[in-house]
Amino acid sequence: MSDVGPQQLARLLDEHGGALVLYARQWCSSAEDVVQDALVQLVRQERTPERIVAWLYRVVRNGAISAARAEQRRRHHETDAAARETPWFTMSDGDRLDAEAAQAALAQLPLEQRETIVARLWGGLTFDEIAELTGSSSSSAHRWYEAGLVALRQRLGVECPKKKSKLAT
Amino acid sequence: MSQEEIETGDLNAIAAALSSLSPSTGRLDRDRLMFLAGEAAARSNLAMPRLVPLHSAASNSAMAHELPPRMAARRWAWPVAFWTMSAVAATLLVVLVARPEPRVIERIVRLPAEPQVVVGTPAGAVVAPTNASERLEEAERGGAERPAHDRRTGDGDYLSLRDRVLARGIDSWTSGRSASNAALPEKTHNHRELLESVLESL
Repeated sequence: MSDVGPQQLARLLDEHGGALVLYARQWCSSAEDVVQDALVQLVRQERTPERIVAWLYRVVRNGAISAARAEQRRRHHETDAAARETPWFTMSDGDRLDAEAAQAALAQLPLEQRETIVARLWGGLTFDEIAELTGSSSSSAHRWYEAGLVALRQRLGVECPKKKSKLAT
Repeated sequence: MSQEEIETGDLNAIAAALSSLSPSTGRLDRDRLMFLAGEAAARSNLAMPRLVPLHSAASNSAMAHELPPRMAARRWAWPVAFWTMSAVAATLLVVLVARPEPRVIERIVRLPAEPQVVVGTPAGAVVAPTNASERLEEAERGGAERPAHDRRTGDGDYLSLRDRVLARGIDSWTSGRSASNAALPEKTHNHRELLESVLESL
């Protein structure tokens, strides 16, 4: 069994549970079940992975893709509707963006861009880890990340900060 | 500032705004997850006991997690069987590949001669000729050497007569018969010959 104890498992759940659920939601509607299975699978591991967070994202990705295939076979339209109604973000007063608008804008991005943005922004993975996760190159992951942010910026109406001119400085 | 940060510097604002959003855990049940994790940990402990050195301080507490000998033996049974069968298969493969070519041994085998057919009585011990012509010559040569009873009724006389008839036709049988009858003066066949023989004896 791995050395992941209850305290570390609780810490992983607190720090990465929401991001992992959000990551799994890019494929399937049963994201919570996928994340739960991934965490239980982590406990079952004979040896603790070196990079636990990256390992969790990989397991969640595989589980979410499998769950998405199963959902596609079942063709439950109710499930899709329920998934759309489930909020991806928790509402709080300090948010600088409207959570629902961000969810809608994020949902419209291509899968590669969504996956990369979630893993980078909320998962804290490096581009190398994302490339390893998605089976692509680091430059591809970086390109998807930038393209996704540009699209989100346009849809959410967030203005770019003005660049400081070198001449002015 | 790294190259990566420089390239994404323009998008820091939107990235920071998005990062301020907290992803929802949704229906992820913390209590249920902890229960399942504990259950999984317990099953893992049962399935794969750790080897704890005897001198370690935690050996006493770890002993509680060790499997009974029967379960431990069952756990090792399949791997041992697998590796044993693999070793046997590999050995047989090596033997099959490294098997030498079969040696060809030339040996002269002397077969016994064909059994000879002995014709006549054991006292006479006449060896039957192998073909018809030899048998015919033998019959012609040794007709007088045979005993009287054999000359009349013996099997050898029949065989020689048969060979003679087959080789020279039916005339040879009658001539041979008259020749053999000439050797028996006391035996007559008709009354004329009997009369002549009586007159000659007078």
